[in-house]
Amino acid sequence: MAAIVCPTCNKPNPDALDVCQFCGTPLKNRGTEPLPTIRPGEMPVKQQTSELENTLPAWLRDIRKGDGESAPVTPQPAKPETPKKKDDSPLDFLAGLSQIKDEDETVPDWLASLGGNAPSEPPPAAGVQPQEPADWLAGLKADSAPQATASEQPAVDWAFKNDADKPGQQAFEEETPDWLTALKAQDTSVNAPAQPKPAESSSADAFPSSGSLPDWLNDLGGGPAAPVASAPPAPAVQTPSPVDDLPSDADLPGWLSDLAQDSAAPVKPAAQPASAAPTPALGADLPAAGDFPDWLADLGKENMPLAQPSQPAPVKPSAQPAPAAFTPAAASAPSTSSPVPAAPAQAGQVLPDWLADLGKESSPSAQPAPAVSTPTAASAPSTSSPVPAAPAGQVLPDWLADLGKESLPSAQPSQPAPVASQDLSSGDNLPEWLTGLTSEPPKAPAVEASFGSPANDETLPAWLESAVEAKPPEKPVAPPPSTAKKAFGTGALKELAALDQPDQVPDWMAGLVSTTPAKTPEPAAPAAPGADAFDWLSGLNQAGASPAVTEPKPAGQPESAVGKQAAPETPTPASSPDSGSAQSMDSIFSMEMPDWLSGFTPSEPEPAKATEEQPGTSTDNLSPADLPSWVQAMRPIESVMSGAQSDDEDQTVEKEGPLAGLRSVLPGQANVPGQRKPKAYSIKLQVDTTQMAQATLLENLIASEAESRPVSTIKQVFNIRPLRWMIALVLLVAVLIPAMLGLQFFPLPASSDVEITNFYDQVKQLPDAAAVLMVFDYQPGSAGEMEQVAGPVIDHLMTQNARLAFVSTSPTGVLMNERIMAAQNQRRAAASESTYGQDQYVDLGYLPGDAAGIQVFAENPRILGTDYQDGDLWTPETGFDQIHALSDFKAVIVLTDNPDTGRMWIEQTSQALKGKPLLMVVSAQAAPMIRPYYESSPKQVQGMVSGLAGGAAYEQATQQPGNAAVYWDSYGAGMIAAEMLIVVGGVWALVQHMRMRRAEQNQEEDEA
Amino acid sequence: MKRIFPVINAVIAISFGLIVLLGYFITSVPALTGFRALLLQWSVLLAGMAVLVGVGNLFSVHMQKITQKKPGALYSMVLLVFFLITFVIVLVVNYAPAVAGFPGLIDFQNILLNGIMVPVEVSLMALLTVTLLYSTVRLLRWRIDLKTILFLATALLVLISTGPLTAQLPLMSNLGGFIQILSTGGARGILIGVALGTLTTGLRILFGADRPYGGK
Repeated sequence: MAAIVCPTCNKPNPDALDVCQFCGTPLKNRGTEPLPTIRPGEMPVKQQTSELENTLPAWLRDIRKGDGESAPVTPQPAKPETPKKKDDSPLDFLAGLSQIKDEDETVPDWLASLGGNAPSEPPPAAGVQPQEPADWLAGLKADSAPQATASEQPAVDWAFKNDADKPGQQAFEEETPDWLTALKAQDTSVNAPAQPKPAESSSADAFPSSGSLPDWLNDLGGGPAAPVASAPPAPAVQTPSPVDDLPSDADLPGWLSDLAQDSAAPVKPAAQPASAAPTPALGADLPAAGDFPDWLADLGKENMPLAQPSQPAPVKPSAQPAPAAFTPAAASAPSTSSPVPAAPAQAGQVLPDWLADLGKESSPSAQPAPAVSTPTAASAPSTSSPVPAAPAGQVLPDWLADLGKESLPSAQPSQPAPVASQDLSSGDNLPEWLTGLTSEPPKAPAVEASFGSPANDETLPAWLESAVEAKPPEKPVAPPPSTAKKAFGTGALKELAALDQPDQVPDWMAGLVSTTPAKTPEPAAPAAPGADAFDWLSGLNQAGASPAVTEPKPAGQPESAVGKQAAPETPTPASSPDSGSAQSMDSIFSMEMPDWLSGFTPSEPEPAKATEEQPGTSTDNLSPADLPSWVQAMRPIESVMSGAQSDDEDQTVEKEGPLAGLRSVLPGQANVPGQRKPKAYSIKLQVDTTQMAQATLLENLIASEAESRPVSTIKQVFNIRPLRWMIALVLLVAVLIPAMLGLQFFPLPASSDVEITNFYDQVKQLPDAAAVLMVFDYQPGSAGEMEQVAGPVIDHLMTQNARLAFVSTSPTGVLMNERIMAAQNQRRAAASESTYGQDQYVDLGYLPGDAAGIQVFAENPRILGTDYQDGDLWTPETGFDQIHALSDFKAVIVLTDNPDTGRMWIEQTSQALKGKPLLMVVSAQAAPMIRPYYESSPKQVQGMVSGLAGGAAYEQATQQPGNAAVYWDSYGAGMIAAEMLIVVGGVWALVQHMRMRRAEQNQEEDEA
Repeated sequence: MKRIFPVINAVIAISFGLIVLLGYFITSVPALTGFRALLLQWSVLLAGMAVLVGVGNLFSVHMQKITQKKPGALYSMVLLVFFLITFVIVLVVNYAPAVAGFPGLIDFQNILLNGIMVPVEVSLMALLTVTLLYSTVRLLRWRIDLKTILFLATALLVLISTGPLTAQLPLMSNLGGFIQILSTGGARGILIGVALGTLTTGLRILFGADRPYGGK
């Protein structure tokens, strides 16, 4: 098993594979080197068109080669302009075809016929045989036989049946759509005049395909087809008539106008005598201008000049082998040898009337058809053939009648060209190009090139060979031109040629093959149209076949429409052999083809595959990766080249959708532009040493800021706790020792202080049993001091037999007065003095509300008129029944350790007292704040006793020893101890501070 | 409602303040004076109830600390126990004469006062004395500057002037009299300031500038 090395990955693949199993590269297109795949994002490289030669299919390269060969041979005026046009368009894959001349590969037949290979080559000698007629043309060569047996094989069979049992047809139809087949037939008829049997093929291609074509294309196909039918009998005299029908260029579409103009240029060589004969037939078959679209009518007229200048071929078409099958001339050629008569009658039965008449009209031209279609054999038979144009005029419409009349001169091939040229040249209505066309001398031998040589019979199938053999050998066989091989040596028709077996012949080909027996001298019975055939078409086929059948017959017999079909096809080849076909080919490709048409190109023939593929699934069976190289060549490189970047990573082959089989058509998901991997940038800073040093310095500065400064701690000179104990111990000793010893170490304070004297005097001045309000507003914590101050005062009041009313603005005040009264009674009891009973004082209790309460109480002391123990206190029994206001009290004595409380009482009761003394017994800490009220003028406080010193002084004033004198030494000792501790502590602190400073200085000096 | 209540409060406070103030100055209008006295009595009653509310709040706070077992719950428990004991004993002794004659009950009440409350508070005052003295001794060790020295010198002179040595040292007696003048002058200034502040605060309340009762 042979292995195919993949051109892309260089890996071996089994021969059976079409696509590389490793990389997906197509393997079978060996004749064509595919362009390198342009991947998404890849910048395509602009290539010269010549570089794309290898990417073209073989048939296109054949065309190019044909151009290369024909260029030096046949100077064509329009051709030099064509490449210029193509150069302007970078996408034109045909632009550089003229540059490449060293390629020799097969070209599809139809394109070869368009390419005008035949005219490019010099007309070979008569004895030269075509070296290698294309197989498929060989098959087509046999089509002449089907032409003859068109009655047996309905034309509809191949025309409208795409059966699976017709691989040849299928392959052919897969390559070319029907409409283009018709167009191809038209072009073939123009470019391949040397083929002896073009009638069947052309008519078979043109008419059936018209059914699937759009109308205008049908007309386009029918245009040339009609001349085919009428071409053979078209006499040279009639040539002016179609010329008259030539439309103006304004009626044509642009591209068709160009087509007309381009095709006009190659027409000039078509003025050769060989191709002059069918020219009238072209115009003869054209319908009236009013029936055709103008442009199509003009198109037909354009084609007419191709045939008009042609002259009868000197060689009999029967001598031409199979390659003539596609050419109408080939069809006309066997018509001279076909003995089958009466085809027009049958055709007239089936055909519509006008077509029947058309057939009748063209029937006379069947005889001269060989003279027209085959330049080599265009002479005698065609000239001798009668022109039975009479029946046509009966049923045909006028234009057809005229057409028949026009076709009549075509039957006179002996003198067509001069007349035609005369008429054309003399016609005022002729366009310039046509005028030039008529003025150019025709090249007669060009048509001969299209005829196959006997050597071609070797490659012909049997049926085709039989057809060849059936041709009259006596006619001189024109040497097959070298271009004939190229023109028909394409692989596409080789496939048809390979259908030498009737079993392998498709239906449509079978019709052609079946005509092979008709090449026998015996007149073949006209095949009745098949049941499934369209009547008119079958009749048309019959009409076309009848000439084929009657090919061996003398020219005097009426010919069918085939002859007419062959006739118009012939002229074009007649003009093309050397220059006409080439020019028409160039004109076709030189024009600016519409997009739809420019995009059409038949795929590269693959006979083996085509035969295997099933009809109707041709599109489905297309290998997704088999993108023709010429399509790749047509890719819009220019638009992609701008700014695109190559991305070799994406080798994805599309597997689905319309882009199936293409590689790198769509970017992969991973290569979405938005998701492209960002470019890696180095994050390393490019700094120099200076910058690095500065950065380091800055970093150190920042780091130093982050560091916490050590807090300078004060050294512990000694432990604090012992100092506390020591201080406490000193104070305790200082207080306890005087109290425990009972020594009067310190003298009692003098009672001569003014405040104490004033207080004493106020108490001393109280009347007997005077109501005195005593406010106990000190806290238990101050009881140690306040009791020592308040004790002598209360004792003095008891001495004065004052009625005491206790009130307190503090909740604990009630407890304090009871405590102090109990203590005084205890002391008085110990001193054998009278004590105060419960009836001598009352406790008014707690007075809430602070200042407000004092204010209310000052205004109305009875607000607190109920004793919680004894009930109403404001009774005569208590002696307070006369008390209605604060001023009713003889004196108000405030005992407080809080200067604010004392201030409230002073401020809130000053007016309510109404001159009554307000005496203050305060602690030493409250004295400074109360003293201003005492020292004010008038005095808001009439007397004040403060602190232990005031109590001791008051004791001395009353001459009543009390606890104040006892505590006075302790108090003095403690005060001295405290003063000493403060002094010692202060001095010690200063010394320590000085030592520390000195130590620091020494340390600094040491460090210095 | 958030706007109405402050306004109402302000109106009540200002109106009642003006009435009380006018009652001080206009004594010839008995109704005004009587209304002022009525308002003051209401305030005293409310203050008395506030004390009870305060006692109830104290009880609930410590009870909450005990139930939630917060730090110091033990002390709260001791407080509440003695609170209840004191309350019950004082209530019984004073409002249950029959029970009050129970032996030892009154003495227990005196022990609560004289044996616990007064000595504890006096001891705190004694500790304060030691602490202040200790601070004074170490004052110069922490900070030695003119203000510190002046403060320490003033304290020392006041102690000396109020101590028993004043009578022994005539210089100190005179120095003590001078220091007393300084303290009295300072106290006067403080009292004047307090008076002005009180007046200003009263006016601000009357004018509605300050609203201690709530609202902006």
